[in-house]
Parts: sequence; C-alpha cells; structure tokens
Amino acid sequence: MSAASSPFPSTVITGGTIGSIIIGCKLQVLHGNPPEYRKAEILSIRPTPTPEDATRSEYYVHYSDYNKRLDEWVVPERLNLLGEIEFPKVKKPKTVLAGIGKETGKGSEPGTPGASNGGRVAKNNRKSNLSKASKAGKAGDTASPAPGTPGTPGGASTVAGNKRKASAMDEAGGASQDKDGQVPSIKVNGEDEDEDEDGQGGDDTPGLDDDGASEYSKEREIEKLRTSGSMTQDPHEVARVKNLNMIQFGKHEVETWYFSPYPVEYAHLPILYICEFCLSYFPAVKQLSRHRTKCSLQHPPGNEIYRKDNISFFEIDGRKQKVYCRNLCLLSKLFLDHKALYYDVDPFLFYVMTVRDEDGAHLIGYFSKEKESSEQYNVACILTLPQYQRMGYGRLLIAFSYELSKVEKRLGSPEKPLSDLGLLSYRAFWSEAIVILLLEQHKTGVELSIDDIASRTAFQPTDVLHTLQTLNALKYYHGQYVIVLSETVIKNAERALKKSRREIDPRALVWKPIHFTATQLRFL
Amino acid sequence: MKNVGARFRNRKINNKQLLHVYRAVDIPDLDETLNLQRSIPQTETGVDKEEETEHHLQAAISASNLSTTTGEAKALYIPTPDASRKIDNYRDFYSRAFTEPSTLIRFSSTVEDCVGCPYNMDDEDDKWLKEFNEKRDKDDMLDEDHYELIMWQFEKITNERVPYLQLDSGQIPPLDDLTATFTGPQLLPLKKVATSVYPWWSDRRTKRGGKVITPQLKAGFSSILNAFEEVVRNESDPYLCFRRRESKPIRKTRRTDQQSIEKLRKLRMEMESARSLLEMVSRREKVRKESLVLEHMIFDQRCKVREYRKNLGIKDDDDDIQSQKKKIRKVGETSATIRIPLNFKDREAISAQEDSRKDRSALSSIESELAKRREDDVGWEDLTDNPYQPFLVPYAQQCFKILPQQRNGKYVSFRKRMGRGGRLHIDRQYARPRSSSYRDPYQKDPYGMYDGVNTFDKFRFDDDSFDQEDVIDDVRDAMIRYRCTLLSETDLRSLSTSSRHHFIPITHGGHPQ
Repeated sequence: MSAASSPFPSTVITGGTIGSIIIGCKLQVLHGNPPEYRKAEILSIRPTPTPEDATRSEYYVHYSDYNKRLDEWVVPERLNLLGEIEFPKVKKPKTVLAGIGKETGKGSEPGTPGASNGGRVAKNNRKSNLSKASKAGKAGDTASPAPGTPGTPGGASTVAGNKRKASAMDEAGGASQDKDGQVPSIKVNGEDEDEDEDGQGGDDTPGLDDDGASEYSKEREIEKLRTSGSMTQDPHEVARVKNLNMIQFGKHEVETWYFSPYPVEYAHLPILYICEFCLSYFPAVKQLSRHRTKCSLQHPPGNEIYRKDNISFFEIDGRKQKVYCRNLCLLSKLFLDHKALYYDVDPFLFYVMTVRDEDGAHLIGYFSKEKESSEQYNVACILTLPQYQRMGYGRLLIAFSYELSKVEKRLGSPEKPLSDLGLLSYRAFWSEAIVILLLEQHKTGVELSIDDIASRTAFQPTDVLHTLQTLNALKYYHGQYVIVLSETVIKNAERALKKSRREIDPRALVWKPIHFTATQLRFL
Repeated sequence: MKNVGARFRNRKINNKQLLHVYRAVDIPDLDETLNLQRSIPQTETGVDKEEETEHHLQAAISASNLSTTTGEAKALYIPTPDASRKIDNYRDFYSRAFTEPSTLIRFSSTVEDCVGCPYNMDDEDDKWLKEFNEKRDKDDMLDEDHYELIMWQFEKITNERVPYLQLDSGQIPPLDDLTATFTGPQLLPLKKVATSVYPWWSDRRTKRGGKVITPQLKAGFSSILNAFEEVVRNESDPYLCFRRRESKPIRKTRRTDQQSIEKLRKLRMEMESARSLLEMVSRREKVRKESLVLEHMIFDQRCKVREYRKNLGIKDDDDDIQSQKKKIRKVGETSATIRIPLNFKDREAISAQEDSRKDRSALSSIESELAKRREDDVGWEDLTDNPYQPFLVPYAQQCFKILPQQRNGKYVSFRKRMGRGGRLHIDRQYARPRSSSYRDPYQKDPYGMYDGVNTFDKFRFDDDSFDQEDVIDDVRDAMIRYRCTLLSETDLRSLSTSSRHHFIPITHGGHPQ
C-alpha cells in the first residue's frame, strides 16, 4: 500500500525510537546485496527478547514496489530510525469505508474508543506496544510467539486502500470486525481467542493474552479487544505475513514465498516436511519418515495422458482426488500470491507434470483448469516449483495447456491476474510461437488476420494482439496495417529454435476432453 | 499527406482484417514517425495493477523490450527466494525403486488408499513409546506400526462418536468404549496393549483441547465440526479454505429436465388413456348386458302379447307385429352368434347360412336385377364411392384420340390441330390405359350382410386379433399378383370407351411436330 493510494494523509516524523515503530509504519530498511536503504512497510512485529534487551523485536517488512515474495523478518538494526518515518493515520475502522454501516444501524458505534481522534489512538497504540513488549519480556517468555498474530497491536490500521483481489472477502472481513466491535463480550469472542492462541504458540507458548487476562480491568479489556485477537486483526494482515519459512520437498529445501493456509498449528515452523508423492505435510522429520514407510505412491494419483522421454503429464480430477488436489493447492499457494483457496477443488482438473527417475515421477509443476470455464480460460493456476524454475519447464506447461486447447478446438487464455513471473513466461512463449508462425507465413507471402493466428495457435486474439504489440510488429504502411518482423526479433527466434530444448510432442498426448454433464457441474 | 497523418484517428485493428507479413528489410521505406502517431492503444498486461509497477518486473519487461528493438540479449530474471539447497539424506525417506510401466499409467486410488494408517507418530509419541517399551519384555514390545494403529483407532472412533469433543473435552470416550471396537484380525491382538496406550492418548487429546491430535486443515464443511466453526468464526479467516460452493440453482429450462418432464407427461397420458379405455370397455359390457336383458324382456312381452291376441282373437295389427317379430328375431340371432369372424371363409359360410334362410324368390329377383344392372354397366366403372378422383386432364390433352391397336405394347393416341396459316398438325403420343385399383372392401359381400351396420359396429372391436389382422401388406407378392388379375384383357379393352378420362400421358412427347 503506497501513501498515495491511502485516502488519509499520513503523519511523517523525522527520526524516532525503535519503540515507536508500530505496524503500518513506513521507513527506510536495509535490503539487498550490496545493501541499500529501501522504503518498506512494517507488517508485523514479533518479540525476540534477549537477556540484554527484553524489548527486542523483529520486524516483518514489505519493500514498497518490490514483490511480496521478498518480504522478510529484519532485525531492528536494519531499520533507519534517523530517516523519515511515516506513521499510519489511524482512522475509523474500515467498516465505514466498506459500506457495512448499512448492515445495521449500530454501525455508528464501533467498539473502538477514541476512534475519531487519530493522534491519540496512535499514541495509545505505541504505549500499549511498549508495555506489552516489556511485559512479555518480564514474563520471561523466551519462546517466540507467532508474529502478525494477536499479540501485536495496531492491527486495526493500515487496511483501507489495500485493494485485494477478492472484494467480497474484504466486505466479509469488515462485517465481522464490526460485529465483534459491537458485542465485545459474547462467548464467541472468547472462543475466538482460544483458537488463535492455539495457533500462535503450538504446544509450548502460554501466549500474551493470558497476561492480559490476569490483570483484568475494564480499560484493559477494551484495549485488549481492540488491539488483540482476531477481531481487530484483519485477516488480510495475517495473510500478508507468510506463515512458513521453508519446506522440504523431495530432496529439495525450498524457501516459501507467500502465506498458505496450512493448519495454523504449523505456522512459523522452521521447516515443513512434504512428501513429494502424496504431498502430505508434516511438522517433524519423525512423522515424515513414519509416513514414508507407509506411503506407496510413486507418481501423482491420476491417469497419465502424456509421456515423452522422462516427462509425463497426469490428469487429476479435483472431485475424485480431493486430498491430493487440496495438498497440491496448499503447496502451490506457497508460491502463488493470487491463488484463491477460498473454494474447494471440485470444479477443477489438475494437470501435473512430472519428471521420472528411478525413484518415481517427481512433481515439477502443474496447472489447474476449470471443468467449465465461463470466460474461456484454459488455465486457472500454473506453477513450476521454484527448484525447477528457469529450466524451461514453465514453457512446457504453457505449451501443454495450449495443446489441450487445440484438442478441444477452443481458444484459451490464462486466468487473470497473472503474476510477474507468469506474465514474463507467457509473453516469452507467445512471442516465440507467433514469430515462428509468422516466419513460415512470410515464406508463403499470404496475408493473415489476427484471428488466423489465434486459431492456429489456440491463443486468444487479445493475447495475439498483446504479443504483436510487445514485439513492436504492428506497423502502418502504405495505408494499412501490416506485421513487420524486425531483424532482431527474427534473430532471437532463430537462436531460440537452435537451442536443444524439451518440446511438447502433440503425438504423445493421449487425451480426449472430458465432458461433464450439467448435473455433475451443478454439485461442484 | 503529412496533414492527413496528423489528423488521422487511431483505429482499432479488426481481428478479421488480413495483415501482410513483412520482414523489416522488405520495406525500408517504412515511416516510423507516422507509426508513432498511429500507435495502437496498449492492451492490458493482465498483471495486478498494484504489482505492475514493481521494480523487478519493470526491469525485466524493459530488458525484453530492449532485446526486441536493439537485439541486446540480456536475460534478466526476477529474483526469487532460494530453492537451491538439497538434503543429503534423501534415501532415508525415499528408498523404493520405481519401475515404469510400459503403457501409460491408469490410476484411480486416492491418497487415503495409498498412505496406510493415517496416524503418523511424532517425536512425543516416539519418546513415550520408547519409555513404554523399556518397561516391557523384549518379545512383548509394541512396535511403531501397531502403536499407530491403536492411536488411529482411538482417534477415529472418538471423531465418529464425539465430533464436538473440542467444545467439551470432558466427554472423552472411556477406555472400555474404545477397546470394544478392537475387533478384526488386525486390531483384536492389540486390545490388551491398547489399554496401556489409552492414558497417553487421552492425555494428548486433552492437551489439544479435545481436537484431533494431528492438526487438520480448516476446510469448509469437511466435517460437522468445521461447519460449526464456520458459522461461529468469521468468514474471512485466512486459514479457512476449501469451502463448499453453494450448489448452483437449477435453471428451469434445462434441456435434460425438459426431456424427463416430457417423458413423464407422456407416460402419464398413456396410463390415463389405458385407464379410460378399460373403463369404457366395462361400461360397454354393462350396457350390452342391459340390452340383452331388455331384449329378452321385450321378447317375453311380445310373446305374451301374441298369446293374448291369440286368446282374444285380435288380428288387425298383424303386419306390424310380424315385421316387429322379424326384426326382433334378426337382432336376437345376431346377438346370439356374438362374433362375426373377420376372415373371408367364415364370412362366406355365414353368408351361405344367411342365404339359405332368405326367401328363394326374393333372392332370385334380386339376382336378376343385379344381372340386369351389370349388363347395363358393362364398360363402365363405378366411381361414385371411389375416393380417388383423377386430375382433370387439360383440354388440349383431352383432344387425343386413342387408336385401338397397340404398338410395342403401348396405345398410341393422336390429335389433330390447326396451326398458323392453316397448317394441319398431327400430334402423336403414347398412352397407357389407367384403371382404378380401388376395390370396395365389401364387394365380396353382395348380399349386404353388413347392411346391419349396427351389428357390425357393435362387435367391431371385440376381437382382440382385429388389430393384427388389419395389417395388410399392399406390396406383398401375393397381393400384387392378385391385383394383376383384377383386370382382364377385355376389361382393359372395354375401358377404351371412356379413354378420354382414364388415359394419362406417359411422356411429354406430345410436342407439336
């Protein structure tokens, strides 16, 4: 969220103390190699007390204008406290913005005291942060409770203007916030907290809320309700902080990129162990090794529809292989920011690409596809696992998705939004395929339309147009539009052709489109 | 031209518009400045707007742009977190060799089918089990597989019986309830040792607040528990995933539904008509019985009347009575015979029977009358009842006169007409005699047996075999042969008198010559 997009001006202060840093602050943070200061936003704070400094914390930062996959926990030394610090303007809970007021007349009395006075609340926030942090230190709590979870204050801020993909979810979040604010003492909320506490500390952390509860007072209670627990913790705030650090998958150890809703008990484990064949996940090596003695899968649980050299594709129906497909989605969510796991896997088919060796067919990547796409998408989500990226497998996945479309005799396009990596992969694939086709066409000297290109490649016309534009190939010449291939474009294509690469061989595809009846689709 | 270019409005490229493909070297006279003015509006990249401006993406995009314009092939990747590390104890976990089948793999077992016992012991379990085994004899050790089986059985049964355990962890099922489920060859031997495992399991479960020991996904409605949770907790919990989609409402006009409705409707209609048919049959039978009774009564009454008359010596209305009597007898008789067989032989038999009963003289007079009429009708065909009426032959066609001689088995007809300038034309054309194949179905019933239409109608549908007998194959060989014999040579000859109406031209060869 950039300052410009916020409807409220932020308070900018030059210089501050580490204790004044709250969630939502924006300041310069050292990043990169060689390190340099970049503007970053604090998304979460976790106490990491040491004997010398009981209030010591780590900060989860998002670097403005860099992809979220570079977000990280930083030590306080990397924050530039001497520079400008932008404090978030505390505003009325975003329920007002989200238009939830209409839901109930009580909307005008949100449970946040002093909400109208932004400055004071901000101060309160800071205070409470300090007191909480120090309390945590005094309590001798050495374990690190979950960051971004209830213990940290200030969750109510920094939400508006955060335009995520699912606006429906935004509203739902707002609504619940509102409700919780109004009726702070119903039993439901108490349970909520228990729930989160569980998630936070696993088995060993008593959690910060316990401290608060022991010193009961009305003021504290209100403060607690306002700043802690899931009521004010916007779900997106939780989801903005990635909950896993590393997975062990097959022989690879892979750093994760984004939040994924693996059981909350597993959040912030150092490593999550994933069986590379059935994709089951385990918090400990012991469990993985026990599982491996029993797991008999050596390839994805579906029908092999393509085999060429050591590359295979398996088709898996989300309805029939629910556990596998859910596990696959959880895994891929670690690397796809915009993947929605809101709904179940039933309406999708999964095409899983594997590379085979003496141990089995190892998952390299996959794409999912709606059984019935209302918008002519031939790919919903597509992922090459990070350990296999930059090896040309992404191209194979994309090529395969279009081979399926050709068999279906349909034009297809990937579902939007694309990720940055997705856009680059697709652009490269499109332009290569189109340039090769155009070079052949050039030899014949026959004119062709954008629709012709589309029907021969199974790309959607808009994607063809998009590609021609990025190739800078559409020119106006002698009173009409023509396609002009520059020499560099041709050279690039020829160079690509000369490279010995894996290609999808349409003859190795043994596949008939599955047609689902209306009733089958209805109950998805 | 320049001015025109400057004023030119950007037009969208039509997708169907044919575009010529050039290499840049083919058209050195390409005016790039003109193209700048005509730049086509950029299509969207499809990347989220907020992320479109990210540094690394922009750098990569401009790098690829650069490579298309200047040919600078500088591959630029978006940096991603590290994924290069590998573990060195891979073989500890993955040791089974994979033999690839020669054909494409077909596989439908689910993950649940393939992972064995779903409970996987963790470090805590491991520690407990080791301590537990230390206290036991060497040959009485509980191995890990069996331990997991016991734990899973406890978990499974508990989840089935007390799905809301996490709301009240005091409801943990007692040991006896659980061990009672240890049946079957696999579990029965474990029953005893399960008793020792129970306190440990119960302890773990209680520590988890009654929840399943192995953390579960918060998947929407995967169990009753989750459904409950979903209502209580807020909808946007980021950990809550895989919700069930509300099933889509049925569209009323679905083709499949329409079809089944149609089928059901048809079935109902057929059943209804069958029912009404049976009802009507029963009604008919009742009416018939009634009529028989009535007829019997009438007969009795008439007999009585006759008796009285005889006794009283009344004679004036004799005729009336007589005719009445005749009628009655006739009706009575036909009702008595009940069945009128529909095939030909029986019909003949009946008509013969009938014959004998008829007055000989009346018969002969009718016969002579008929003979006389036949004589009159020689050369004429009775078309009054024939539903087929030949098309009206155009006047010009009617002027053809048929020669009585055949040529090559065909009749030749001529027509004389006057042309321009008084020239005389003679048109010739071949013609084929046409006769009606129509036969009166009751023709073979010369004595009007079916004149009693009432009788016929009355029993018309009585015979179940009626439907089948009614099916007549018109093109059966026998039928064709029979039809051939219907008209004799002389019949054909005699037809020629009315040839003007019964001959139609075969060909249109009758052009003026």
